[in-house]
Amino acid sequence: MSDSDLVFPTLPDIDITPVLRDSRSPMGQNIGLVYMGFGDKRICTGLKWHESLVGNAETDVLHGGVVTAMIDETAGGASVLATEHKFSVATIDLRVDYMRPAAPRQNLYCTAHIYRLTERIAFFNAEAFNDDPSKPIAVGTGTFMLAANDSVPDILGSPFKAQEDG
Amino acid sequence: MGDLDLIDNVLAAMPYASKLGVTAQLDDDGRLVCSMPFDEHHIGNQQLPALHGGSLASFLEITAILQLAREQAAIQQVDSIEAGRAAIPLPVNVTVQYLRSARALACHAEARVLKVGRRTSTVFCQLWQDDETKPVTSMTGVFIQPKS
Repeated sequence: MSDSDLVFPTLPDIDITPVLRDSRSPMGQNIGLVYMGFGDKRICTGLKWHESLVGNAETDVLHGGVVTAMIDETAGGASVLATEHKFSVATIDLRVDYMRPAAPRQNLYCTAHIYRLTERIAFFNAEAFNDDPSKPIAVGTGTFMLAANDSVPDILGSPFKAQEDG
Repeated sequence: MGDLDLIDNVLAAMPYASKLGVTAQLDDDGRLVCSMPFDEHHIGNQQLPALHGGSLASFLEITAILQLAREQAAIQQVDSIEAGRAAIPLPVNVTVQYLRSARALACHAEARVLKVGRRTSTVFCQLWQDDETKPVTSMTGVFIQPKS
């Protein structure tokens, strides 16, 4: 049900260090985005189903825009992680394919991976799923610009840095 | 049922649009312009500040759905609130370009349906802030009609 706790599903063959921390961006907090884990150039997030995020009150399915927002922020986090927190990032473009409707009233999870990093651009792919990572409800791909501004907002913070410092 | 009635009913059936504060206006020429007020909850980068890519993409998707629902309703002569709600198009995919940083201002958007098809429809949508000649974000989306 909607108040059930978030439990990030196991990703086959991918090592994830679990964390649990609310998003630091206002929009991330607005949709209830929670950072749930990280790996090699990868970030995992979750969000609880909520009626205010629904796209059609007759079906109780999350709006496509919620999925896009989740993918955007998760991939942005992965970009910052991949650059070892040295850059701030801004989305250049993204494409989301909605593979199947999200299950009504179900929590949503997302994993984003930076598969190519250049001096100025991070290329990502991402998947969003309800509870089975092998059956994504949406897949996303796109690019982030690095060093979008001079100051580096600490969008990830300590749980993600701790391992790198150690 | 008037155009604006249909649009308001589709908006009312879309709780996420209310959460974002999205409104729709028809001008004298029948042009549909959607607006999303500035809200600090839509920010992605607090230091600039800049609006979150996800709030912009969400707003564009809502705008595209409204314009497409309107054109579909005209073709199918939808004449009831229930039919209008049932006709909320489902996205197959969206492609979003972030052209400029979105500042702490209200956003406006207009959608153009490039093609209404029996199976899929393609919609192009553009977002601006204080200067309509300077698009901030654009989106192309492919949608299908839900099975009735």
